[in-house]
Amino acid sequence: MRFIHCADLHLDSNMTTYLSKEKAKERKAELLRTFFNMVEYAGENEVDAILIAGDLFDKKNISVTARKAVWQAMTENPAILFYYLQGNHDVNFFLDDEEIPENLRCFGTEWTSYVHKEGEHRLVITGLELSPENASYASNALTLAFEDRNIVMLHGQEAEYEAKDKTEIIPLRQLRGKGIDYLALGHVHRYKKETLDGRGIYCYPGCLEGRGFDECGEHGFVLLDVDIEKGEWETRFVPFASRKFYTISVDICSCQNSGEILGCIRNQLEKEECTKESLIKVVLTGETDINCEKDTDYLLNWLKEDYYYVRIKDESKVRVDYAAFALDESLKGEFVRLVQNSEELEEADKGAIIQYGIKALAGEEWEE
Amino acid sequence: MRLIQGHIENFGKLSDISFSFDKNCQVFCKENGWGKTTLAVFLRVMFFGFNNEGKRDEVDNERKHYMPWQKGNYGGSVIFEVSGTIYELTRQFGKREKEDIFELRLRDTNMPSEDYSSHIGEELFQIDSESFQRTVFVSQQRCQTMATDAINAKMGNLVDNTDDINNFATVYDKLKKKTDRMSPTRKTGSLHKLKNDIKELEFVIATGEDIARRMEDTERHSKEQREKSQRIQREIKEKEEKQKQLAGVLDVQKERTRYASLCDACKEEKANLLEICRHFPDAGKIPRQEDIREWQTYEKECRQLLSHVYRNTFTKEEEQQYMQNKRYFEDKMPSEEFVSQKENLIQKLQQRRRGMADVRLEEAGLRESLMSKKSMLATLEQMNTGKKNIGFVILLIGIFLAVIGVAGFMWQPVVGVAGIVMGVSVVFAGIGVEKKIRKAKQDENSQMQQLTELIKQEESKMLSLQEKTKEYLSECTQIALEVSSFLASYGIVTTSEDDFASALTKLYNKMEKWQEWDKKKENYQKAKNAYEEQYANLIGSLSVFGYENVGDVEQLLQKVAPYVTEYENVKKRYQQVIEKKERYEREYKDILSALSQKDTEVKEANAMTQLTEEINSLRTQKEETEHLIGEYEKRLQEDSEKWDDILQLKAEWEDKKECYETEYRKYCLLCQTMSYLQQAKESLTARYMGPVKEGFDKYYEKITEQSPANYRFDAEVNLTVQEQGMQRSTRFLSEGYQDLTGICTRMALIEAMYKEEKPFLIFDDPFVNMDAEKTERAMHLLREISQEYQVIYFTCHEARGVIGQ
Repeated sequence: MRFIHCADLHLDSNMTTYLSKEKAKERKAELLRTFFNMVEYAGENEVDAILIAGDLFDKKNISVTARKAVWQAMTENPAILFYYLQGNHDVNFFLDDEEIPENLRCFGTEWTSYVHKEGEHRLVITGLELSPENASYASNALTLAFEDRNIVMLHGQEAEYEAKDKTEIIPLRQLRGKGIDYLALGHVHRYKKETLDGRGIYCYPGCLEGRGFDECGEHGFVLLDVDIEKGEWETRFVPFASRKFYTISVDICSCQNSGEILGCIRNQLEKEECTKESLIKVVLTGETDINCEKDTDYLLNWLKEDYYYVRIKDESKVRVDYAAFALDESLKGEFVRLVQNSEELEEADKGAIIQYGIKALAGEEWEE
Repeated sequence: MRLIQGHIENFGKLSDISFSFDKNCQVFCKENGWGKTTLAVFLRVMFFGFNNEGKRDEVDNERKHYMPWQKGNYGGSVIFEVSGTIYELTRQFGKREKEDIFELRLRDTNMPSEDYSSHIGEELFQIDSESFQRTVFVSQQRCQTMATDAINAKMGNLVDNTDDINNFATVYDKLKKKTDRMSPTRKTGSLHKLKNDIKELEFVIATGEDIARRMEDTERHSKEQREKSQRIQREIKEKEEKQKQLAGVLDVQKERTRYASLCDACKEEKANLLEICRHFPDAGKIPRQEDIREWQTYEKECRQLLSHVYRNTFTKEEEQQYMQNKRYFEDKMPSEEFVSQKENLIQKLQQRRRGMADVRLEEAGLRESLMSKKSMLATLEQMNTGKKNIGFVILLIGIFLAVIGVAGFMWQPVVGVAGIVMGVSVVFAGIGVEKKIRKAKQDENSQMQQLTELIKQEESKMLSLQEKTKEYLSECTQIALEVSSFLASYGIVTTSEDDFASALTKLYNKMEKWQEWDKKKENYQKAKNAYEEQYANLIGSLSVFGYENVGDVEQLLQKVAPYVTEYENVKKRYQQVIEKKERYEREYKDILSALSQKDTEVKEANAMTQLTEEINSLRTQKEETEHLIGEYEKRLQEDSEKWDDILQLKAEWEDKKECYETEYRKYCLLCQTMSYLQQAKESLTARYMGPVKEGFDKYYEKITEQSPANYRFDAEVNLTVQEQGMQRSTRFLSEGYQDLTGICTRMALIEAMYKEEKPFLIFDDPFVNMDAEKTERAMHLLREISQEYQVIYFTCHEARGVIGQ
């Protein structure tokens, strides 16, 4: 059997952080489109079932568009089974009883299993939705037949031990030796595959699409091939996101003006192979010369034409050669020495103040 | 530095006027309106250009103000000395600055000099026009002064440092403007606006919480209504079920009629059945249609069998012939095989006879051939013998002729030659003939040998044919004997072999006829037996159903068949009605008991009406609930969109807050920058504050003969005075003291600024506000100053013009 293991799709997410209203709307639609594309991929690649390990939706009040779209994707693909385990974001179930498609399999707050038989062997998909009530005993209550091929679905944060106050903790220690072959998890937004015990592995596919700069890198789903007869398991991460987030640090210590800084940024973006569909955060770092001319608006203006979204965060500092001003008997020298010897100023502020002062004395115009 | 001479072409009211300057002190004591201030301004403008060029007002705009009234060349020249070099500075002013003409020449050589540019004032005095007016140029009513950046730069020896203290005011002003524009407290400040935006966003976002709560409420209500809708749906279903059941009960009357009609139908069909049964001998045993069809088949077969019997019955004549034949063959009826054998024998006999004829024919042919071959052989032998000597004879004739020829040659050569030739020719002819004869003989011999061989072969064949003929003959005789004896055993006498075939055919025909009769006899018997058996069965079957002594079975069956059909139809209808009735009774067994209770009908009808009303009511409720759900969904959708907007605003709020923080930090840094620049400037100016104060004290004491202890300079070189226990601005002093302290300050600044090359000083009647005592002291001071500086002094009052004396 072939499965797609995905999680944390967060459909209907507002995507308002950083983005304009129009782009947020566009990204919101893209999340749905990527979900559709994944189902289409499943159809084209003989996938038997899609495991959704929680957080299919982002919020409690799901829009009609999102609800109907997911329902349509499921009903239009009756040959694909959808195993849907609700996550902490899936507060309400998205369908009324009479709307539930025949190919949708759901789980509850008690362990629920679905069995596939192939020859003499069985593949059993077991899942449970963690809640404050069941969190304490859920892992202990799990019983699986060792002769079966077992997939277990859960949504939460992996941990060695269970935490008393936290519902969304998956205590790996308690799940070891239970006969799990593949622990299909959701909640962590970055792909991760690790050994669970001598028999099985656990895997977070990460979110299907990144939604912010805290979700940089590749995103997609895990393609899982199971030979039920032989008991062979094969997994492969499939990058599938329509856009990628990048946080690019650019050291501008050797730059003297905005043009050179732009060159450095572009070089770094090329190195990272950022495409024009990307969302990019450029972090300027390093200590610049006190006379370095740096205009972030200018930089942004150039870069925003080349990428879907760009923001610039200036974390660079000013490099002051205090020795050069030590014997300077001018106002400039007096000013630098005063700032240097100030006890009330932070070091980072000293550089900035000196740069402002010197630039002001040099007659540099202030941007409006 | 000192002024030597000056000439005004046209400047203000002054025209074509020349003047020279004393190296120590030049007093211009003229009446009001002479043009003293114009001259003072001319001197300043010659070095620094016009002030307020951009102003529209002709009074404020100096270029317009001093435009020559009498027209002509606007400008003039000044001769001055700097560090021992004498220059002549000439300027002609146009309507605009760019139309101005500047010229500087070395007085000694009259060559143009590039030592100074058109900004000669700034270059010479190392201060700007404003600073010049605050120090060197003391105009009327403007004695008070203060340090400018240029003055500070000059005092701090930082004139060449273009981006330093001389730029401080501009920088500070720019920073001030920038921070004002950014100010978080000023209404026009960008940070203030941003803060307001953030507050507004916070307010709107706070209303978003109401939306969230409302959405929760709507969601809860929607859920309640959905549950209610499902509950109502279940109730409707239950009531519809009841209604269905009641509808069945309620239709009692109708059901009763249906049931009665069913019962009546049962009775009627039963009567019909009994009626039809009377047409059958035994009502208990009614034949089926299949029986009738079977009987009809039997009866038909009987009739067919009977026709067979009739067809195979012998006529009298046939009977006689049959008997005759029976006697003829008695017990010796030959088998067909046997007769066939005889027939084959006859055919064989005929074949042999034909074979014998063929052999004889061949024998005759062979005999004829033999005879011809033998005669041919004889002819050949004869011919062979006859040809023996012809060649030899001719040869001899030839030889003879040749001999004659030889003989004749001696006699007659011609004849002899002819005879020889002829003889030789005949000899050759004889040889040729002999050869041909010999060859013909050989051919004939071989031909004769062949013929001899053929004759032998044919003779041999002849013998074998004769043998075969004998053999055939013997066989024919034997067959003929056998056939004739066979025919004779059936009384058939034959005279020749040719009769054998016809005799046998006759016998054969007799046999066939016999067999035919025999077959007919057999058929007859079989048909008769079958008929009798079939008929007996038919009668037997009929008797089972009570039909005895049946005459014409066919007629009987024709009569009975329609009754049977009708009986079956009636029976079928009867069974159907019975089944229908039973089914009805089973289905409505509850109703059957209620049928007798006529009063329940009304009761149930009332219940039915009530149910219908309840269902209608529930349906209305459901519609209302669904309408409500729709409304809730719509509201949820709207609120969801609003909530999305709120989230968008939240994101915007976060952005703006981040932006505010960044900008505020920048604002703070700029404020701090300003503060530190100010401190730096003050720290820097504090260094030459001592010399300035010393200078001030010196000049103050000289004019007032009082202690200057109450006067102090701040780091901005602003003079303050201790009054009533506090440092106060000199603006609070009297006009006279203000002018006095101003002049002292100016002199102190000039002293601090110009350590080496001393400038000329212009005083445009600055002491008008001083009392006589102070004026006298000021005059005294000027005298002292003029020892060190060239003083150009303008006054309109003689009392104040004693300086020059």
